[in-house]
Amino acid sequence: MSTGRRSRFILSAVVAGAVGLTAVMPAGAATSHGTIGVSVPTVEGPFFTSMLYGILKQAKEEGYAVKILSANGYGNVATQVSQIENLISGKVDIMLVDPADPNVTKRPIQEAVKSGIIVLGAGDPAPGALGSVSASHCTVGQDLAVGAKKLLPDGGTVGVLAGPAGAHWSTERLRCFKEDLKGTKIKIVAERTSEPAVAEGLSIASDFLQRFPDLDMLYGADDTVGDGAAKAVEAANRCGKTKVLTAVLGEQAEELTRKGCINYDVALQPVLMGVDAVKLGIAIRNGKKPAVTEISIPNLPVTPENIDSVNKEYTRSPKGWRPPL
Amino acid sequence: MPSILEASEITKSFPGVKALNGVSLALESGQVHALVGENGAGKSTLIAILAGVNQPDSGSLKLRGEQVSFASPVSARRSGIAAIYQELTIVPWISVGENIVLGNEPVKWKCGQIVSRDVADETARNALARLDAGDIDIHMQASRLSPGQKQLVEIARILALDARVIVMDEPTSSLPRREAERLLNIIVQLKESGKAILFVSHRLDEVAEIADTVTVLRGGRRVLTAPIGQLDRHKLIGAMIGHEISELYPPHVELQKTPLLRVDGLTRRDRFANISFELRRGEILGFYGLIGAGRTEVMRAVAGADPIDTGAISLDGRRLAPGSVAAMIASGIVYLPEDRKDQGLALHMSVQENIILSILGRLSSYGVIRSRRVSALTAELVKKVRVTGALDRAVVNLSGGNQQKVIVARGLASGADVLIFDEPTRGIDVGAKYEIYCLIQELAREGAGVILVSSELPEIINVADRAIVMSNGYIYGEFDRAEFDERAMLTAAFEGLRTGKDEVAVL
Amino acid sequence: MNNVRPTKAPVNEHNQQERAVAGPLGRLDLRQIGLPIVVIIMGLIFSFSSSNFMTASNLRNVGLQAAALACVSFGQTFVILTAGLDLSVGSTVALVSVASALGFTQYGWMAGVIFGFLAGFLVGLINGLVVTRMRVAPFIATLAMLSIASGAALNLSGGTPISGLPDSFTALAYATVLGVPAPVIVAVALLAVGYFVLQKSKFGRHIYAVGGNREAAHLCGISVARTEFMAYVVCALFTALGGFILTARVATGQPSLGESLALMSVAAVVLGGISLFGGRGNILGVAVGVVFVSVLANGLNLLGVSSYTQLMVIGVAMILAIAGDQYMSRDLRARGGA
Repeated sequence: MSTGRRSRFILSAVVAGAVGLTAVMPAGAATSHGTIGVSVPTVEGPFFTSMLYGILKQAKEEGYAVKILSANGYGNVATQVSQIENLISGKVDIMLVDPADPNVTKRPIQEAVKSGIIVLGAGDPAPGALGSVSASHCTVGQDLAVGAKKLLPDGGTVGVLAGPAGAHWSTERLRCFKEDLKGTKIKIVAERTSEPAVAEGLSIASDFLQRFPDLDMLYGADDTVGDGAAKAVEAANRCGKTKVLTAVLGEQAEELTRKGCINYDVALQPVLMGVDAVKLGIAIRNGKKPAVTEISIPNLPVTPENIDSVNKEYTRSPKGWRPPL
Repeated sequence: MPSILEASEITKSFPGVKALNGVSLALESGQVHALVGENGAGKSTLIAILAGVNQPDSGSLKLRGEQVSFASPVSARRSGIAAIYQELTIVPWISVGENIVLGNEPVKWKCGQIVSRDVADETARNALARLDAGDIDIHMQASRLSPGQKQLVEIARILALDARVIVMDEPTSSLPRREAERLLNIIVQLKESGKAILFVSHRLDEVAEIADTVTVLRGGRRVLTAPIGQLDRHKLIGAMIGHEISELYPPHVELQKTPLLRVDGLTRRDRFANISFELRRGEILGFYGLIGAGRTEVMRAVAGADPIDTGAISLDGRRLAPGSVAAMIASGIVYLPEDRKDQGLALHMSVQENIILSILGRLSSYGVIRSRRVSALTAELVKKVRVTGALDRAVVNLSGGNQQKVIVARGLASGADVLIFDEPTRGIDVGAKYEIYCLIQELAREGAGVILVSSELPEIINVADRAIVMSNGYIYGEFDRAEFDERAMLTAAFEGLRTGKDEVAVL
Repeated sequence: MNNVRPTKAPVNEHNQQERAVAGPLGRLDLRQIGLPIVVIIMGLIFSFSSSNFMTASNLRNVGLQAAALACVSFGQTFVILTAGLDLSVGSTVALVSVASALGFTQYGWMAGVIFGFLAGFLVGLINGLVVTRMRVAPFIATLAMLSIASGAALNLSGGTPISGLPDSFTALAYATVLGVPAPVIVAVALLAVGYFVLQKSKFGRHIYAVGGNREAAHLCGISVARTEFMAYVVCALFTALGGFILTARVATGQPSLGESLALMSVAAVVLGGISLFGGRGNILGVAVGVVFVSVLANGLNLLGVSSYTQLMVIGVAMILAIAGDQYMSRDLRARGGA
């Protein structure tokens, strides 16, 4: 092809592609009372799936549109900053943020508040925001310590799957867990951080079991690594012998609890967190700011014994539900 | 007065070969010293040492009587020694002007790091003007230069360096006659301006034209050094190969010929048009023309390497589908490219591997190459083409002549009926050339049809049975052996370039 | 004598000297105009599809989010022009972030800056030495450095982010001069420096020579090793600057910062018309490449396209750009025969 023909060809290809791209774009939002922007570190795992479910459910009831942005990893702190900035210039009315690292998101959240957006922490407190709806992670840690004492009344060895290294929720849980175990005969013999994923949990737990074949208990910071730990225990045929202690009750976690491979699960209620976060945001927007803006949602301890009797409505999203992304 | 550059007892070995053995040579200002010898005699190695690219194992270099040693090309340059190599050292994606001052950029400002574009441009322009090449735009990207122009730019670079000693390794080998003559004139000019020049060439007539002194190398040793007046062609060739040969070409033989290949109306836009010719078994058909005439394009099209717009190719009366090399090879048409290194050989593979490259399928069962079949075939071919040395050597280490023979062997391996040789003797020494001519004749004798594309008229006239002359994409002449006439053929070669004026357009 | 007379006018000569447009961009052709046109079209489409795209605040966001990538890409340009590659730029950013954070929190401003640049300089130094002295292929050498720098960052930080950076530093990420964010100004300044060095300085021209024809450069007395070595050092220093920008933005020292930068910077460089074979292309094109990648990401974000899809789109764009580059260079090479 001669240069002239070639350049025209490429140009038309580009334009055609671009037009095609717009055709694929989702249609604009129907008329709504406002927009809620959501920024989360990841959408993987039952915790976030459930919280997003709660947010979307309540937002729909209230007639608000929702825009979800995920940073795709606790390590992608810069991405979350960018996403908050994008939500600011997208002029959302309410912004719900679960910070991957609260030190990082503080400044962008302050900018958002300055520009008139109602920013709340969702799932975790977010410094700089007007309030938050979360589980107090320290309380989760303390509840986990209670569970540990119940499972190992005479003490024992524990391998810790600590979750993401810099994340507030996992560090808080572990800190308060360790605090409450001071003076007991329960000793932590191994500890490792990782991204919150089942595969990581499986690999780390297998590692621990190899090093300590008679390990008494495994601590999973939440049920992503917790499920992985339980699977490792199952594979080693030690369900019930090596006890598994974790938090958040996802579908898999429920299954594993029934099997007895998870022995104590501090179930959070992320759906409720999502619902209440939306409610709080709208209330503040309508001028009805409550006295307490830092709301803490209580936890439900779940064991193989009480699993059928506990009210699990707010612990997770309906089976098979995926966030629209 | 000491020589400006003197090499004494230079010895240099590479793994497996002693390239130079106690060679001594002296260059004088204002003189052209020619260095001749067969390929592998050590000429390029000596030049590399003089230019600082390599260091000798033993021996010394003296610059105006003072001992020097060059650790890199930079130090040689700084001492006023510049070199032009066979392989063009043009950086394609920067401008002509930048190429001319490469490594020698004029700077401005105290830090000495910022290039002074104005001074650089002026230097470049002046250098080109001295070469009568002022029409080359110094801002143009160097990749757009023709090979002849690239050579000029390299020389311009030397001029810009204002070197005292200039070393040239076969500078005319890729130039058409007109450019080569221009270059020779420039060399004479440089000599008259007081530079010392070391000039390596295979073209003995050039040597005779411009050299003051000649040194002959053979097998890494200096065999002869004498002023040009004391030498003649025979003596030179004799010294180069160690014995006298009376002929450069084998005697011509007339053979019985039957029709083999027929090409009709071959056309490809912007390359060639209306090409029709016949080739018979047992015939050597020469294709003469100036560089750029389109012969390579035609041959590549016949061999299936390039597409055509219209035209027909038939072998033994059977029409062939163009555009597929594999199909052409299978039909028996093989093209041996002019650019051995870039287009012909897998340089780092062995002799054996290169020979069987086109026919791997035939030598395998179920996709696995059968080594016994390979050895048998290659042994036979190597004997036939007379490649010297071990079969498992990487071809990059072979001399030009041997490399060419490997390419021929590959062509034979596929059982070709039509062999197209494109400039097969370029850059090859006299002895090896003779062998290739013999090989070509033998192939014709055995019933193949051979097309010999060449820019050397004497070669065509001495070897071919018939000659076709192309110019600017068209055929302008067809000559039987009886009609061979240098002037007529040369005229035909220029026909296509006529612009209507008396001057013929220059490439 | 047989003469075959042609019936048509003579064929065009294939060695035409095509008119060159002199100037900073050299010869303007599709290679260099193509991408800016695509960026403009893309911009138009996005502003058409989303009311938020063409706003001052969004464009400021694009600039902010592109600044660090720009610095790293400009550094990468130096290396790719020599026909090399630096895959370690991502972990260099992480190391610079951690090193500077340690400096800031423990010894103050000066220490923060010095530690950060020192970390970058060391990475460049080692990359340069391994490639030029130990003759390891750049792909492998910098891949190894990727692990080393990443490990060093994790080690120094204990695996957790370092907070407590001085506000005066982190505020720089949000500072503006005449409405233009400071990080963007830094990136543009770096572009100017890069342009000047590559086009006007001896070192810059030697980079083009080494990349265009290594042997020729060597034979002309250019120290190929020194030129390549300096390219890696320059790349690491530019990257360090990008690291500072990102660190200010996230107000912490993060051992996992900049993970995607290696891939993205190469994408931007290639899209910007720099050939991976070295020796050709202009750093201004890289700036356009950075803009392309950033505008694309931003626009797709606004339209709600998932980031997974965005990765695919950028990958496809890269392939098209490289293929287009090959196609257009091949035609140039094919000209000129016997």
